[in-house]
Amino acid sequence: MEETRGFHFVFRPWRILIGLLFGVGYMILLQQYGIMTISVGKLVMFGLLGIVIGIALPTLATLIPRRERKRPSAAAMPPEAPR
Amino acid sequence: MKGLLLGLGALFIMLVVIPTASAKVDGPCTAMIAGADLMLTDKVTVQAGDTVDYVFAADQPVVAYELQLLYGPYAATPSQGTSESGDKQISGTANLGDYAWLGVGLYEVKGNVELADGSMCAGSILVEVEGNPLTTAVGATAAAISGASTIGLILLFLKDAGVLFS
Repeated sequence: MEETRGFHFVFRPWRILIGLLFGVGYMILLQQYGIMTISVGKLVMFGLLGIVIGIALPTLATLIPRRERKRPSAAAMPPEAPR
Repeated sequence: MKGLLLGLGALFIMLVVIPTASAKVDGPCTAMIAGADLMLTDKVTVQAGDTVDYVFAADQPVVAYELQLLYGPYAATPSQGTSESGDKQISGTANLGDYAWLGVGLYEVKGNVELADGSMCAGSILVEVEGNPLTTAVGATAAAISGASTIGLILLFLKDAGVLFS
Protein backbone atom coordinates (compact mmCIF):
# COMPACT_ATOMS: atom_id res chain seq x y z
CA MET A 1 0.00 0.00 0.00
CA GLU A 2 1.46 3.36 -0.99
CA GLU A 3 0.34 6.66 0.47
CA THR A 4 1.48 10.28 0.42
CA ARG A 5 1.87 11.64 3.91
CA GLY A 6 1.53 15.27 2.79
CA PHE A 7 3.46 18.35 3.78
CA HIS A 8 3.82 18.99 7.47
CA PHE A 9 6.48 20.92 9.37
CA VAL A 10 8.90 18.73 11.29
CA PHE A 11 11.15 20.21 13.95
CA ARG A 12 13.96 18.10 15.38
CA PRO A 13 16.04 20.21 17.82
CA TRP A 14 19.26 18.20 17.62
CA ARG A 15 19.37 18.62 13.86
CA ILE A 16 20.19 22.27 14.49
CA LEU A 17 23.67 21.10 15.53
CA ILE A 18 24.16 18.99 12.39
CA GLY A 19 22.89 21.85 10.21
CA LEU A 20 25.20 24.30 11.96
CA LEU A 21 28.22 22.03 11.41
CA PHE A 22 27.17 21.57 7.77
CA GLY A 23 26.98 25.34 7.13
CA VAL A 24 30.13 26.33 9.01
CA GLY A 25 32.13 23.39 7.60
CA TYR A 26 31.39 24.37 4.01
CA MET A 27 32.07 28.04 4.75
CA ILE A 28 35.58 27.22 6.01
CA LEU A 29 36.16 24.97 2.97
CA LEU A 30 35.20 27.85 0.63
CA GLN A 31 37.70 30.08 2.46
CA GLN A 32 40.42 27.45 2.31
CA TYR A 33 39.93 27.07 -1.44
CA GLY A 34 40.32 30.86 -1.89
CA ILE A 35 36.73 31.55 -2.94
CA MET A 36 35.90 33.98 -0.12
CA THR A 37 37.15 35.40 3.15
CA ILE A 38 35.55 34.70 6.51
CA SER A 39 33.76 37.41 8.43
CA VAL A 40 31.39 37.45 11.38
CA GLY A 41 28.46 38.18 9.04
CA LYS A 42 29.26 35.19 6.85
CA LEU A 43 29.71 32.98 9.92
CA VAL A 44 26.18 33.89 11.06
CA MET A 45 24.79 33.57 7.53
CA PHE A 46 26.23 30.13 6.79
CA GLY A 47 25.28 28.93 10.27
CA LEU A 48 21.67 30.03 9.75
CA LEU A 49 21.60 28.52 6.26
CA GLY A 50 22.84 25.20 7.66
CA ILE A 51 20.22 25.28 10.41
CA VAL A 52 17.46 25.98 7.85
CA ILE A 53 18.68 23.03 5.74
CA GLY A 54 18.81 20.80 8.83
CA ILE A 55 15.22 21.68 9.76
CA ALA A 56 13.87 21.71 6.18
CA LEU A 57 15.12 18.23 5.26
CA PRO A 58 12.80 16.27 7.58
CA THR A 59 9.91 18.43 6.37
CA LEU A 60 10.78 17.72 2.72
CA ALA A 61 11.04 14.04 3.54
CA THR A 62 7.34 14.04 4.46
CA LEU A 63 6.51 14.78 0.82
CA ILE A 64 7.94 11.48 -0.35
CA PRO A 65 5.35 8.72 -0.71
CA ARG A 66 5.96 6.10 1.94
CA ARG A 67 5.38 2.42 1.43
CA GLU A 68 3.85 1.02 4.58
CA ARG A 69 3.77 -2.64 5.30
CA LYS A 70 0.35 -3.96 6.23
CA ARG A 71 0.73 -6.18 9.27
CA PRO A 72 -1.70 -9.07 9.44
CA SER A 73 -3.88 -9.06 12.55
CA ALA A 74 -3.82 -12.05 14.88
CA ALA A 75 -7.39 -12.96 13.93
CA ALA A 76 -6.54 -12.99 10.27
CA MET A 77 -3.52 -15.26 10.72
CA PRO A 78 -4.04 -18.87 9.74
CA PRO A 79 -4.05 -21.35 12.65
CA GLU A 80 -0.87 -23.28 13.23
CA ALA A 81 -0.90 -26.69 11.66
CA PRO A 82 -0.97 -29.55 14.23
CA ARG A 83 2.27 -31.47 14.49
CA MET B 1 8.54 30.60 5.79
CA LYS B 2 8.89 31.24 2.04
CA GLY B 3 9.77 34.90 2.68
CA LEU B 4 12.39 33.90 5.26
CA LEU B 5 14.00 31.46 2.83
CA LEU B 6 14.03 34.08 0.05
CA GLY B 7 15.59 36.63 2.39
CA LEU B 8 18.25 34.19 3.52
CA GLY B 9 18.98 33.30 -0.11
CA ALA B 10 19.38 36.97 -1.08
CA LEU B 11 21.69 37.65 1.89
CA PHE B 12 23.72 34.54 1.06
CA ILE B 13 24.22 35.70 -2.54
CA MET B 14 25.17 39.21 -1.38
CA LEU B 15 27.72 37.92 1.12
CA VAL B 16 29.31 35.33 -1.16
CA VAL B 17 29.17 36.95 -4.58
CA ILE B 18 29.98 40.54 -3.60
CA PRO B 19 33.68 40.83 -2.65
CA THR B 20 34.19 41.64 1.03
CA ALA B 21 37.29 43.78 0.84
CA SER B 22 38.57 45.68 -2.12
CA ALA B 23 41.99 47.16 -1.52
CA LYS B 24 42.04 50.82 -0.55
CA VAL B 25 43.81 53.21 1.79
CA ASP B 26 41.92 55.64 3.99
CA GLY B 27 44.10 58.57 5.05
CA PRO B 28 47.16 60.50 3.82
CA CYS B 29 49.38 57.44 3.22
CA THR B 30 50.51 55.05 0.58
CA ALA B 31 50.89 51.37 1.39
CA MET B 32 52.36 48.33 -0.31
CA ILE B 33 51.85 44.78 0.91
CA ALA B 34 53.61 41.84 -0.78
CA GLY B 35 54.73 44.19 -3.54
CA ALA B 36 51.20 45.34 -4.34
CA ASP B 37 50.04 48.93 -4.08
CA LEU B 38 46.87 48.93 -2.00
CA MET B 39 45.40 51.74 -4.09
CA LEU B 40 45.72 49.71 -7.29
CA THR B 41 45.53 46.03 -6.42
CA ASP B 42 42.73 44.08 -4.71
CA LYS B 43 44.45 40.73 -4.21
CA VAL B 44 47.93 39.26 -4.00
CA THR B 45 48.97 35.62 -4.01
CA VAL B 46 51.70 34.16 -1.79
CA GLN B 47 52.92 30.63 -1.15
CA ALA B 48 52.23 28.97 2.19
CA GLY B 49 55.06 29.76 4.61
CA ASP B 50 56.23 32.80 2.64
CA THR B 51 57.05 36.10 4.29
CA VAL B 52 55.14 39.22 3.26
CA ASP B 53 56.95 42.54 2.82
CA TYR B 54 55.17 45.77 3.63
CA VAL B 55 55.92 49.48 3.17
CA PHE B 56 53.90 52.36 4.64
CA ALA B 57 54.77 55.92 3.57
CA ALA B 58 53.29 59.34 4.37
CA ASP B 59 54.19 63.03 4.28
CA GLN B 60 54.29 63.02 8.10
CA PRO B 61 56.60 60.92 10.31
CA VAL B 62 55.17 57.49 11.15
CA VAL B 63 54.96 56.93 14.93
CA ALA B 64 53.15 53.57 15.09
CA TYR B 65 52.11 50.83 12.70
CA GLU B 66 50.35 47.50 12.82
CA LEU B 67 49.68 44.70 10.32
CA GLN B 68 46.69 42.45 11.06
CA LEU B 69 45.54 39.14 9.57
CA LEU B 70 41.75 38.85 9.87
CA TYR B 71 40.03 35.47 10.17
CA GLY B 72 36.34 35.79 11.03
CA PRO B 73 36.00 37.29 14.49
CA TYR B 74 39.72 36.80 15.19
CA ALA B 75 42.59 39.09 14.26
CA ALA B 76 46.23 38.03 14.46
CA THR B 77 48.99 40.65 14.45
CA PRO B 78 52.00 39.38 12.45
CA SER B 79 53.82 42.71 12.78
CA GLN B 80 53.53 45.91 14.80
CA GLY B 81 55.79 48.56 16.27
CA THR B 82 56.49 52.18 17.08
CA SER B 83 59.02 54.60 15.63
CA GLU B 84 60.67 57.66 17.16
CA SER B 85 63.16 58.21 14.35
CA GLY B 86 60.93 60.65 12.46
CA ASP B 87 61.03 58.50 9.32
CA LYS B 88 58.22 59.08 6.90
CA GLN B 89 58.41 55.51 5.68
CA ILE B 90 58.22 52.24 7.59
CA SER B 91 59.00 48.90 6.03
CA GLY B 92 59.28 45.40 7.34
CA THR B 93 58.47 41.73 6.85
CA ALA B 94 55.62 39.72 8.32
CA ASN B 95 56.06 35.97 8.61
CA LEU B 96 52.78 34.36 7.61
CA GLY B 97 54.37 30.99 8.30
CA ASP B 98 53.82 31.67 12.01
CA TYR B 99 50.10 31.48 11.27
CA ALA B 100 50.26 28.29 9.18
CA TRP B 101 47.82 26.58 11.55
CA LEU B 102 45.11 28.73 9.95
CA GLY B 103 45.69 26.79 6.77
CA VAL B 104 45.67 28.23 3.28
CA GLY B 105 43.06 30.19 1.33
CA LEU B 106 41.87 33.76 1.24
CA TYR B 107 42.52 36.21 4.09
CA GLU B 108 42.08 39.91 4.60
CA VAL B 109 45.28 41.68 5.68
CA LYS B 110 44.82 45.12 7.22
CA GLY B 111 47.43 47.79 7.91
CA ASN B 112 46.99 50.63 10.41
CA VAL B 113 49.42 53.55 10.64
CA GLU B 114 49.50 56.44 13.12
CA LEU B 115 51.25 59.64 12.01
CA ALA B 116 53.05 62.29 14.06
CA ASP B 117 50.25 64.83 13.64
CA GLY B 118 47.79 62.34 15.14
CA SER B 119 46.12 61.36 11.89
CA MET B 120 45.54 57.70 11.07
CA CYS B 121 45.79 55.63 7.90
CA ALA B 122 44.16 52.27 7.31
CA GLY B 123 44.32 49.98 4.33
CA SER B 124 43.40 46.40 3.53
CA ILE B 125 44.08 43.85 0.83
CA LEU B 126 43.09 40.25 0.14
CA VAL B 127 45.95 37.77 0.42
CA GLU B 128 45.54 34.33 -1.08
CA VAL B 129 47.84 31.76 0.51
CA GLU B 130 48.34 28.98 -2.02
CA GLY B 131 48.53 25.34 -1.03
CA ASN B 132 46.47 22.18 -0.64
CA PRO B 133 43.73 22.81 1.97
CA LEU B 134 43.44 19.10 2.76
CA THR B 135 47.01 19.00 4.09
CA THR B 136 46.38 21.71 6.69
CA ALA B 137 44.74 21.21 10.08
CA VAL B 138 41.90 23.68 9.48
CA GLY B 139 41.25 22.49 5.91
CA ALA B 140 41.25 18.80 6.79
CA THR B 141 38.97 19.39 9.81
CA ALA B 142 36.54 21.45 7.72
CA ALA B 143 36.51 18.76 5.02
CA ALA B 144 35.83 16.03 7.62
CA ILE B 145 33.03 18.05 9.28
CA SER B 146 31.46 18.94 5.92
CA GLY B 147 31.61 15.35 4.67
CA ALA B 148 30.29 13.82 7.89
CA SER B 149 27.44 16.34 8.25
CA THR B 150 26.47 15.91 4.58
CA ILE B 151 26.32 12.11 4.93
CA GLY B 152 24.45 12.52 8.23
CA LEU B 153 21.85 14.83 6.67
CA ILE B 154 21.34 12.47 3.70
CA LEU B 155 20.90 9.47 6.01
CA LEU B 156 18.47 11.40 8.24
CA PHE B 157 16.50 12.53 5.17
CA LEU B 158 16.25 8.93 3.94
CA LYS B 159 15.20 7.82 7.44
CA ASP B 160 12.45 10.45 7.57
CA ALA B 161 11.38 9.49 4.06
CA GLY B 162 10.99 5.92 5.25
CA VAL B 163 13.58 4.55 2.84
CA LEU B 164 16.05 3.56 5.56
CA PHE B 165 15.59 2.05 9.03
CA SER B 166 11.85 1.57 8.52
